[in-house]
Amino acid sequence: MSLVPTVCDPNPSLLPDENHVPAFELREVSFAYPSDGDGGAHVLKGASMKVPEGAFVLLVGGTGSGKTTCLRLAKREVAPAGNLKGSVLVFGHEVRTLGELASSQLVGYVFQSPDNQIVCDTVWHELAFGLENLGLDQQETHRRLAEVCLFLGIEGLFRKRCDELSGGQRQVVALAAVLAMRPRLLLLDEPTSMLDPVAEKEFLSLLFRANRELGLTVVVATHEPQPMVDYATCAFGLEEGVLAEVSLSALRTRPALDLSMARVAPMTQHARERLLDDVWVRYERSGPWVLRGCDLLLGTGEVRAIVGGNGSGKSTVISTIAGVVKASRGKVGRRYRGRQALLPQQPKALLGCETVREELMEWSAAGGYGESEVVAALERLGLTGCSERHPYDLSGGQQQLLALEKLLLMAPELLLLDEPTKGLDGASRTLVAERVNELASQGRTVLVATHDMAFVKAVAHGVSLLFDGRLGETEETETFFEHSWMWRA
Amino acid sequence: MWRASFDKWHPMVPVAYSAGIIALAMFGICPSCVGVSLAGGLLFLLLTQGVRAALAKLRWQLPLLLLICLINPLYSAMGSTLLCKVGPFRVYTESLAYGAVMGALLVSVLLWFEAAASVVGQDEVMELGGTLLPSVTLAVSMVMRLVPQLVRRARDARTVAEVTVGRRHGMNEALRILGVLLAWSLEDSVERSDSMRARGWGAGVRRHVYRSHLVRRRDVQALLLLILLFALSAFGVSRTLLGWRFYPRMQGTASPALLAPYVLLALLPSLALLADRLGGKERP
Repeated sequence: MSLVPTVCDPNPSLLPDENHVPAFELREVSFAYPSDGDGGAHVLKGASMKVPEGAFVLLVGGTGSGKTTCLRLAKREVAPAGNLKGSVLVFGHEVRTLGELASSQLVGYVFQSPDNQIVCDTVWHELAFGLENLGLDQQETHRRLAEVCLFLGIEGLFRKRCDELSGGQRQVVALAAVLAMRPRLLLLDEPTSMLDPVAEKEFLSLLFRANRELGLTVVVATHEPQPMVDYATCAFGLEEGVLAEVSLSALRTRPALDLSMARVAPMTQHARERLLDDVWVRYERSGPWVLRGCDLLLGTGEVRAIVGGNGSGKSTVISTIAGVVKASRGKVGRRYRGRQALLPQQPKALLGCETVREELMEWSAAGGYGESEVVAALERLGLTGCSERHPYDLSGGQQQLLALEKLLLMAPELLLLDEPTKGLDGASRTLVAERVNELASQGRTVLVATHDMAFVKAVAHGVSLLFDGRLGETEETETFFEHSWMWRA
Repeated sequence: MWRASFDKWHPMVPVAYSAGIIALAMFGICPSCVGVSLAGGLLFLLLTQGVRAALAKLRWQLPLLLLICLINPLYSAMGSTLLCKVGPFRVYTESLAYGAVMGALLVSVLLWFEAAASVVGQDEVMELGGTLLPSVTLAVSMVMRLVPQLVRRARDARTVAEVTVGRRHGMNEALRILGVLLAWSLEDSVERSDSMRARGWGAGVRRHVYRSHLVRRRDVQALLLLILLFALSAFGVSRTLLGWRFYPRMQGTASPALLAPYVLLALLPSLALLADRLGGKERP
């Protein structure tokens, strides 16, 4: 690693002159979280970088690589507590001495979760929240709200309630709420990892416009750089606390999933079970149909993927088979009732115990398993040393795998997975994929609803496409991708 | 069916009206006053929700009225005109009438509450509270979002366990769900508070509240007019009440002149709707 600060190559048309103060600069920054030991492990080790004004920078690295720490150091209000050496500069100002008000005006920060960062119940109130905090008068607030809505094209959402919006729209509202404060540097921490691919592209194109048309400096921390490489002017990689510039073309060709284990061929296919037979579902009496004449045949020992757009009803298919949602018309097969398990989109819905071990032991009476099975499960998870930790202290990927393992202890014959890779980085997605392949090799039946096509390629034997409330004819995974127009690549 | 639309007025106008009419409807315990408020409330219900919805409401409200009417004689055996004896109970006309008036009053108050809810939304209340208590308003806004979220999550946590280990009930299950929700909410609140601070919450500036409605001259005029009408109505209602008694014998008269302001007040929202409708287009 060189000690000379790496300056990324900016878009020349956007840079006023060479001596311009960088929007964001790290000078020999080392950072360690406080711990009881000898100063704790270093999250950043002598990191240096310069981000010129108007740049669109990617900060790439896996979970726990220090991306978030790096971003948060530049935002005083959310900066982590710990041992910081070196200087962090924003437009030439040392962040530590910047006032809170100045920092909140100069630097914007968008978080990962569309749910958690929304504060108010209505969109207009959410957009006005930051401006109210700045103490702006009516006239100025009105102008800024108007402009941010016009710029992003979200006037139609202004009077809506935040809960009515889709995840993608909510994330755009979160972006708008920050942009309304007119920051000059915008930091985003995994802003699209919870979004489906279409919503992700929409979000990124808006972000790109803010960058190019308004001259806003953008730094995005991500573990999945591929969708945004084309917008970026440069990229930095973070690995074990070491920061180095990486070429954009290298990021373009990075494989999405790195599987050491090939997909398992289906065990001998027994009879195919009809799980859905002309099923119609809607959530309100006079509401629109979510499923309209939906059929599903599932072979024993098969791993089947259900793919489809956002809001196409993938989760409804899963919930209907699980028996959580009642069909208004049609028959739902009951072959697996009592011998099935459901992994929800949010693994936190499954985790409520104090420690990882207790979590796995929770259903031991109902599932007829004991201490030895739990020890084996901990070993599979690689969490033997962490059995007394709180589940929430694990990373998102570990939480997902823990929730999955908790279900598997119940030895279900049918496993229903709803978006099992949502928000996970490449390494964690690979682990989930390998675990599903392992289950397939044991002959378990798995139904997975997902928009993660790399994951589908890695695990599924067959793919069913959900559209207009109906599942199309199931195809083998290879055939499906060969015949596909948008997912062929 | 006409949409109750008062959103061209500043929220303080419909809020003041609702508060006033509900107060008057609650205190006017005499047949003529209750008659006025019931008629006003019913007319508004009919205009805004249509005959069918109004009938559906009355289907449970009328039995309620009847029930109160019949129960009252059992509690208060007062009056002078004995109607009949039911076992140990003596039923007097006066006592029955008092029950009927109380029942009608309750129904009319319910109607006005419903009318208020259809006209005054949560946004309007927030708007009024925002100027006085900005932090409380923000807290209310957050609660309005978080409570439904909590309910959804509780349902998710329950169904996920239900699918996998079967339906379970009782204290243990409730405690388990509570544990899930508590950990989940605490975790979320960390990110939410970061998101608030990142947008300048607590940066030491006096918060200004953004108001999406402006107070205009006509709002002030309407409010003054309302206050005048309320004062006249309250005077009329109280005089009528003083001149009326149920026991021992129903006595008193209602002077139309005294109650005229109250009649006008009770009909005001319906008249406004009618004027809108007959005017053909939205008035400025």
